[in-house]
Amino acid sequence: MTAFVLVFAPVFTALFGILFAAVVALRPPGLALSVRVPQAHAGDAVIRTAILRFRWGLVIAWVITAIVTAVLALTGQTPLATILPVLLYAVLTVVILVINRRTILRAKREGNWFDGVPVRVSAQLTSPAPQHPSIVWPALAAVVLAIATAVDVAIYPGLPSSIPVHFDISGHADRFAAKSVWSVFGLLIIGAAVVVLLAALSVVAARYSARIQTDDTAEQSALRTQVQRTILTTLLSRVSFVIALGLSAIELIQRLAPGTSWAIGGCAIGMVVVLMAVVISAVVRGRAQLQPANVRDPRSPRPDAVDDDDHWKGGLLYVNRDDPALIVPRRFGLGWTMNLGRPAGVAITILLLVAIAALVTSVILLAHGR
Amino acid sequence: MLIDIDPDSESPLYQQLRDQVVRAIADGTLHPGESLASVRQLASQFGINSATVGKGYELLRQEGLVRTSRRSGSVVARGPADDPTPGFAADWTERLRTLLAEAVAHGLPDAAIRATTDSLLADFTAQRTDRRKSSS
Repeated sequence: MTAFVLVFAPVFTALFGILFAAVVALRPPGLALSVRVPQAHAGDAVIRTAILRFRWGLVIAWVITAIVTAVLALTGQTPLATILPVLLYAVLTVVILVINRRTILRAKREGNWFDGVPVRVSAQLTSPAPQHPSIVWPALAAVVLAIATAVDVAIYPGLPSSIPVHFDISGHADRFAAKSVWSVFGLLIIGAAVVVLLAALSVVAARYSARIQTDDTAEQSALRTQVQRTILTTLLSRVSFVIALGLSAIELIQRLAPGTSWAIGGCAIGMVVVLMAVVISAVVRGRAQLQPANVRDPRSPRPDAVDDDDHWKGGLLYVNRDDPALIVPRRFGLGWTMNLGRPAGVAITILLLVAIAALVTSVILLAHGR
Repeated sequence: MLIDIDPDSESPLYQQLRDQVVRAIADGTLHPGESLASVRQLASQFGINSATVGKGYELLRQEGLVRTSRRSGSVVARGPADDPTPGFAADWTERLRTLLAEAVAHGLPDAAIRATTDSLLADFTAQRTDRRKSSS
C-alpha cells in the first residue's frame, strides 16, 4: 500500500513533466515560453538559455515532489501523499515558467526587439476542409465494451445478491451494494460515457482551427493546423480505447475471478502506463511532423506577428476585451483556453473550476470509503 | 489562402481585406465559386471586431465580386473570365483618372506609367496561368 502511494505522485508528475518539456519543442519560432518574439531574435542565446533552464526546472520540481511524497508517505499521511505533491508540482511548474519567461521578456523590452519590425495579423480566407476523425479506435472501444457487457448479461442471473462496488487501495472489497443494473454495469456505463464524450471531443478537434502564426507561409500554416488536429484526434481516440479496454478488463476480472486483487491493481497500473506511452508518442510524432513548419526561409521572409504579450497573463491566461474570440488556442501546450476578457469566458471558466473541484472532492471522499 | 492585415497602417482594416480579396481574384488565387470563411470565423482568427470584417465583405458584395447566401455562405461571385457588370467600366475609369492624375502630377513620364501598367497586368496573367497549370 505504501509502495503504491510512493509511486503514484512521482509517476503522475513525471508524465506531466515530460509532456511540458516536449510541448516546448512544439512551439512555433515566433513564441518562446509563451513570449512573442520577432523572427530576427528567435535564435538568441537568451531564449535558448531560458528554455534550457525551464527544462532543468521541471526536473528539479520533480525531485522536490518525489521527496515530499516520500516524507508524507513514510510519516503515514497516505491521502495527502497522493494529492498534495501533484498540486505542488502544478504550482512549481507555473512558477518555473513565469520566472524563465521573465528573462526573455526583459531582454525583449530592453533590446526593443519589436521596434521597426513590420507586423501583421493573419487569417485563412479559404479554410482547409475539416478532417474526419478515424472511427477505428472508438469502434474497437465499443466492441470491447460490448463484449464485457455481453459477458455480464450472461452471468447476471448467477451473481450473488450483494455486489462489491469499491475496493481499497490494496484491492480488497470494502463496500458492497445490492445487486442492480447500476452496481453490476456501473463501470461499463462510465466507460461508455467516456468513449462517447471523447468521440464528441475529437469531432470538435477535427475542425480545430489554430490562430495563424503570422510568420508561417500558407503551406506551413496548413501543415500546422493539420498536425495539431491529428495530434488531438489520435490522442482522444486512443485514450478512449485504452480506457474502454482497461475498464472492461477490470470489470471482467472482478466478476469472473473475484478476490484476485493483484490482477485488478495490475490492470489499473497498466492502463496508466499505456496512457502515458500514448500521450508521449503522440507528442513526439507531432514534433517530428511539425519540423518543416518551424523552418524559416530567409529568401522569402514573412512578416512578424503583433506583440500581444500584454493580453497573456503569466503566458497562460488570455485576457483581451477587444478580441471577439471566446476560445483561443493555448500559447503554451496543446488545446484551447478561454478569453477571460469576455464575461462568457469568465463564467465558463468558473463552471469548469467548480466541476473539477467537485470531481476531486468526490474522488477523495471515495478513497476514504465514505 | 492567407490574408495579412497591417494593424498600424493608415488604410482601414476592412479596406485592406477588400483589396487583398480583389487582388487574389485577379491573380487566380481565388476562383469563382470558391467559398470564403464566414465573417465570424475570420474575425476570431484575426482577433478583430466582426463589424470590421463585415464591412470588408459588404464592400465586396456591393461590387458584385462576392455573394452571400444562407446555404453556402460567402463565395467568390466573379472572375477574370466573366463579363464586367454594366456601369463598372465608367465607374472604374473615374477612379483610374484620379490615379493617373496622381502619377502625372508627380512627374512620372507617360512611357513609365504605361510600362508599369503593362507589367502589372502581365504579372496577373502570368500568375493565373501558373496557378491553372499547377492545379491541373
